[in-house]
Amino acid sequence: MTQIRSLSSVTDSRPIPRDLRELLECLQAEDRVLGIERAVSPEPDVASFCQAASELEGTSLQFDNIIGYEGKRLVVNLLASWENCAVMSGLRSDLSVPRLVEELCARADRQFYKPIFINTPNAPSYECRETGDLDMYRTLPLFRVNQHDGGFYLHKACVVSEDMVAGVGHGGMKFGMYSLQIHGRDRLGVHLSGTDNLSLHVNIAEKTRRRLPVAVCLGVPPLAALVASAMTGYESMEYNLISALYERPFELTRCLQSKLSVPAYSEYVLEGYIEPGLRCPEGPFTCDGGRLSEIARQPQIIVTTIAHRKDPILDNSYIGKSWTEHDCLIGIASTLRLHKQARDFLPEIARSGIRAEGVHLRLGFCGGRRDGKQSSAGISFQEGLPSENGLSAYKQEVAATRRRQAQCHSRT
Amino acid sequence: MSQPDLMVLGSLEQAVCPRCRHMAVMRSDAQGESGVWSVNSCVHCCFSWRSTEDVMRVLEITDGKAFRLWDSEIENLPVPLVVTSV
Repeated sequence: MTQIRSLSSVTDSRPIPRDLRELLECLQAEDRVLGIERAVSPEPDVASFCQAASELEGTSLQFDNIIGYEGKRLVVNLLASWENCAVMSGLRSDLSVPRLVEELCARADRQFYKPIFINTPNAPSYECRETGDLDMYRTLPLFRVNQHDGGFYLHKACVVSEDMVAGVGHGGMKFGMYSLQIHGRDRLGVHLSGTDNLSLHVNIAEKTRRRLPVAVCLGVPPLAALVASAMTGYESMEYNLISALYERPFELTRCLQSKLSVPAYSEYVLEGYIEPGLRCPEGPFTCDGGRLSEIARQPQIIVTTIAHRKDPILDNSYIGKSWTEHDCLIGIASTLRLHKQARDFLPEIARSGIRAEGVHLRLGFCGGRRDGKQSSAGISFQEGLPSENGLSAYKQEVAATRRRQAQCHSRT
Repeated sequence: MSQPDLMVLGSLEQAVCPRCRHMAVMRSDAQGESGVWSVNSCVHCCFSWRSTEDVMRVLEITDGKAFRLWDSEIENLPVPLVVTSV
């Protein structure tokens, strides 16, 4: 098999930020984060800042002084630009998008490293713990992300769950990103599609009539967030892939109340369980493109322990009509997922080439040597962003505006 | 829903959920002695709002018309992940 050359050797690479704090330092050093130091109210100030920032493509925000949340920090849209995503990957911020994705795909192919474990008492995520009389409305600096949301949402929450039959070993543990709605002081509604990995785990647990242990990780290391959003398939091991992207063993720690493993450098870890058979109203929230999600009866997470680092930082995403973090994350993650799936089925693929066209990424594969012959191009197809903020949405809007103008013109 | 109805509800927002009109509302105050805001969450329909918000703007569909979620509608909400065997 042709060895894929790492771009790290040909670019001015730098250390990969280990956690959210290191990424924040890197971005601040390059003046890529706008710090809001004055006192702001959770509503409407924070969301208004986010909306304004999303219209200025890729502006990340840090709030240090939210009224009622003294001493708590909030960052929003930290990965809302390709430049920030390059910094997250330990690469130069002026690296082109295709080369950034090529580098990540090349790293994903070299899974030399396995995760390592840090004892829970020594893990930064468990520096501070709260049990009993929990109140997430006070502990987490929450804000209504969009005006018509049915509550306070966490759009960058990574949920760890296990297959209750297979167990946490043998790939039975999954790590994925979901939108969570705060339902009460110790309750979270989870937005499931019915076909994602967590849905499958809930289904298995309900069939055995058992509570499903889950851990919600907030403010995870940036490359872990990328992998969580990629939804790489049920058979893949997310923590191995994260290790590959970091090019070193990824640090994990064990939960206190279950066998689940969570990133040791998460800012917050909320341990709890999903009660079998329980469904509660969840939604609506504003999705990509500005439309409202459907209100549905969804499973509910009951939180039993909140662990966090000292002076924790909540990492949340703003989702709206304009350019958001989801556009960057999903763009890279979906290409990474496609590359990995293609490699799993066609190991002779030597190289994935990516061309950025607007916000769409075009992915093509070059075949390697097979039976003594060089295959020119095994597969070539296009991966459009699943986000509604893509080029086609803009085109539709422009077309609609043109039609309206034409109608007005014909009337006059 | 007419405008006067919205105004009446505004004065009762601490006790009644403005979305489903149930009275099972939990209240959480801001940390410390600040008392700058409190969050109300409805145990019945899971809607939550902060005391400093204009909650009717949150529920507003069009000018003067607010979104409601009645009991019958909650029962008929879609269930993406069907409960199979509990």
